[in-house]
Amino acid sequence: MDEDITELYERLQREVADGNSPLPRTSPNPLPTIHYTALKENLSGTPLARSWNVYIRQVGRLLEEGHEGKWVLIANEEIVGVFVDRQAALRLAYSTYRERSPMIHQVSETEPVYRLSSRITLCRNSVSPST
Amino acid sequence: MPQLSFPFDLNGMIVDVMIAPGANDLAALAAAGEPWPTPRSGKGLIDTGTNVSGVSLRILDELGILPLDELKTLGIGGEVDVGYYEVSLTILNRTNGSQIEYSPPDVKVIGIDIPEIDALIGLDVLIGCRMMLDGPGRKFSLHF
Repeated sequence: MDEDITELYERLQREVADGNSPLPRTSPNPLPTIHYTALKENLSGTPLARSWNVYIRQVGRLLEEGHEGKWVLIANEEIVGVFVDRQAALRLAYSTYRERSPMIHQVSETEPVYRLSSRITLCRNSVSPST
Repeated sequence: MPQLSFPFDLNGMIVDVMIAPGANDLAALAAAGEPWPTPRSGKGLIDTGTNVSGVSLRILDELGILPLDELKTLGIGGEVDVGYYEVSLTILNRTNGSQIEYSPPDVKVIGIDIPEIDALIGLDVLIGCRMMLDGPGRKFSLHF
């Protein structure tokens, strides 16, 4: 090697400090997605799961009505409002529906799928196995 | 370019973190007439194997914020839907007295339960900075 690891590390630090990235800047790859028609109901019985199931049953209609990108507030297994911005839905959720298992979700034709580390131990009350 | 440096060993890359409700949740709490909770401090573990960060359920409960939506995730257990929260997550180094902090925009986090770890720092946070790992030197740094 032309430079040992310490020199390499120091050079990289200098380049970064000078604003010269040692690596090209690239856009992050988008997450894989799943189409709304492939979403499955969640039978775990948690409040969020029940709200999620309401969303799945209604998402086709919401998309047809032109609500893509808007935010839907679901509480007590009912859609209680569709909002242009999330903050309006959030305010209502905290002020009025806090004890009624609110869920806020952005209406979308596709849903991103995140990757979990094997370190993550999921608690029963936070997890809903997909059916 | 500001940077944070930390020692590390085979137990993992550990950073200091401060966790508070996200700005939207704070605004909603204020609108509801509820007090803002005190931010919580703890230890965060860097984990490049996940692209969604996590915060201990204990801290999330103490902050009093709600899991208002679910994420679809793929892990060892297959595909699962997980409730998520929006928080402000700040990385800092308390041991050297530095005032430098890395605070990305509010992030979606899931609840975790890992002994002695208060937060799991995933690629969703790391993508906003450069990380240098010096294995033989037993140190790593975040540049942002």
